Order: sequence, then C-alpha cells, then structure tokens
Amino acid sequence: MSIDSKIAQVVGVAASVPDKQFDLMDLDIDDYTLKRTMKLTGIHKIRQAPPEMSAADYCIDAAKKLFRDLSIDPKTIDGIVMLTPHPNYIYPGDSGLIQSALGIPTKCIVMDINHSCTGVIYGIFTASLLVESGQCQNVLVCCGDTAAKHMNPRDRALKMVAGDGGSALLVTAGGKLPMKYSFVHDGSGLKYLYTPAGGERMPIQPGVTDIESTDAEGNVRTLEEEFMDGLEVMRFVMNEMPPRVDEVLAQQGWSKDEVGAFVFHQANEFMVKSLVRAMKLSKKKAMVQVDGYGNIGGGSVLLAMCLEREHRSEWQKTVLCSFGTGMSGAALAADFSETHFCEVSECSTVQVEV
Amino acid sequence: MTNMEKYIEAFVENLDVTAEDAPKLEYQAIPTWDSVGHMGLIAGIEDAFDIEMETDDIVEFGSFAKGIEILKKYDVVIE
Repeated sequence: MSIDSKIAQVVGVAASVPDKQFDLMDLDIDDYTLKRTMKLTGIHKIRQAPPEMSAADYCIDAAKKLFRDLSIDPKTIDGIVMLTPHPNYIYPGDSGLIQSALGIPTKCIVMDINHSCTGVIYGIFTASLLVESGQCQNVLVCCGDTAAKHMNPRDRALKMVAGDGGSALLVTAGGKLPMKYSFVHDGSGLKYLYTPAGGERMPIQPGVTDIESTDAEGNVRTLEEEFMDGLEVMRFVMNEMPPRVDEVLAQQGWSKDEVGAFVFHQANEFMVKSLVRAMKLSKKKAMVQVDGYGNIGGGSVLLAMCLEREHRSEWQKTVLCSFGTGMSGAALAADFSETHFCEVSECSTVQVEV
Repeated sequence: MTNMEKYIEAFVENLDVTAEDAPKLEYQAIPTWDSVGHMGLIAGIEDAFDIEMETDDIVEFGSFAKGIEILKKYDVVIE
C-alpha cells in the first residue's frame, strides 16, 4: 500500500446491536400468519432497542470497538458522517453528540445525512470525497437506526422484519483501488416507505394523527408510525438495483464470477434471494444474515460483513448494494481485502449525554 | 396434468383455498392472499411452469383471471 495514495479506503468496519433478542412469536398476531411470514422473510427473532436507546448509542458503541481493535486514537479523527432517519433530537443531528462522546477533537468536520437503508453507501461516498479532496485524513462514518420503535406492533409488514442497531467504519487515504459507485433515486416513490406525520408537512395532532387504522391486509398503524407498501418497494428494488450492480461491475472491469462477496441490504431473506436469482449470482457469494437481528437499516450490510468475518476470505472484489426509503438505491464495488471486520458487539447502555 | 390444473394447484397449495374457490380469487380479497401469500403464490406458479416472471408482472398479478392473461407473455396458455 502506498502511503502517498490519496485513494480512499475502508480500513475497518464494526456493528453494534441491542443485547436482547425479541421473539416475533410474541407479537399480537395469529400464529399461522407469523409462521407463514417468517418462512418468507427468514426472520424469527430481531434485536429491538429499549425506549431510552438511540441509533447514535449503537453507532458510538460500534466506533469504540473499531477504535479498540485498530488501536486508533480518537484524536486522529477529523471528520464524522452520521446517517440516520431517527436522531436523538429534531435538531441538530447526532454527529456532534458522537464527536463529544468519543473524544474526537473539536477541529473536525461533522455532518448528518437523513438517509435510511441506503445510508451506508452514501456515508462511504461522502467520507471518500472528504479524504480524496485532502480536507480530511480519517473520517468516521456512522450509520444506524432504531426504526423498530416507530412501527405499530400489529403492522406485520414492518414489525416482522425491522430490527435496531448501529454501525461504524473508518475511511482513510492509502487505498489501492478507487471505489466505484452507482446511485438511483426516485422521489415520487417516497409515499411507499415513510412516516406520514411528525414532520413539518403533517405535525402531530392528538386525536387525528394517533388514530389507528387497519389496511386491506389487516396491518394496523397510525399516521405517526412507519408505513410500507411492500410490493411497490419490491418493484423498485428489482427494477433498479440489478442495473446498479451491473454498472459498478463494469466500472471496475469485474465479471460477476470474479466477485468474492455480494453484500445486499438485509431487507429480508426473500428480497436478497430474489435479487440473487434475478442477477443469476452464486448463492454462496451473497450473504443472508437476518435471523436473530432483523433488518437494522443502513448498517445491515456492515452487520452482515461482520457476522461473516470468520467464514469468508474473498473480500478483494466486493460489491455492496443498498436500497430503501426515498425510494433510493446505491451500489459500491471496492476492495475490502485489507479491511478489519470487528466482532459484532452488543450494547445495553446509553452512550451519549448532553 | 393440464396447465389449468397446475395453475389451480398453485393457488390451492399457496393460499390454502379449495380448487372450486380459486377461479374467483383476487389479491387481498382473502386473508391468505396478502403480500406474503402473493410471493409464495408467484414462486409456486414459476416453479409449476418453469418460468421467471418480470417484477412488474408480479406486482400486476392481481387476480386469478389476470394471472392467466399475464402468463400468456411467458407462452403459458391456460384454457
């Protein structure tokens, strides 16, 4: 590795999840429906954050693990990119809380990006721009969510797949191979995966936005809770993501067969398998790590990589592919062969204090 | 087994309905044909006819009758 290289690289990856598992069989949904849904999603248990915990808590815990494993002094960090749709406060975002909690110097660029499942690739992209511009040397990217708190327990479309957790990774210069990206975004699809009330467009109004209603499939939710039209999400993903993967492969000059690992957003087992099938990929190269955790949002790809750290050695040609609310999607082709993957940590205590 | 018999069997096996009820079915008209049941049904039909349906066709597959129309695109004629 050339120390003069300005090419950005991911030197380490970590993930942190709530320490307790929640058994989906304990949901107030009939057993037949629960088992039928589990068979499709591959998710029987999830990690669910307690009320006092936030995405930033899990991200900070992941960052601490990353710093310990790589013997990184927080004082060397000069950039933070935090991505979550559920920060601790309406404003400002969580990046400043992360900076102070980790003892990162005040002379630091911090930014918050409101992205969900596609977040981590946007985070790597933004951090790489900071590094390759020469503005920063070591950029911490944090990506997490506590979405499970924002779903109705009788909305099986979401409640049976969503988990909570956070992730952290470090981007520095010194890479050998430029990372290649492909993005897609269709704002007209926002209505297929969003929370209607609670923002400026539809403020919370007791007696209006907190009234439960039941959809055609029997899912119950209020306007203050997350909504998903699963079939429309699938239409977007299946139409838009294979071309994004093809594009980054072409940019790197890699064939599908050469790639060692395909890491898709861990929406659920069915979605990952559908993509693998549509793209005619090797099943062995595409990881599925959803059971016991659920879909933890943007950090799900990093969680999957950390969980597979001991079972895989082919990281030199790796493709990440994330998608979700927006509707948005992104793919990244990069060399992760020198990246350190931390053991997944479990967190039960609040990490941020004001 | 005729194509119609295979088609009906996919509904019976994946949506837990009788062969007599299958021809009247529409998406979300019964509890078992929800979005989860839909994916199981599509997988069953793809296996039965050894085809791979386009995503838009999967989403538009809104009834027993509509499915027959869509399957013509895949050279599957159900009479």
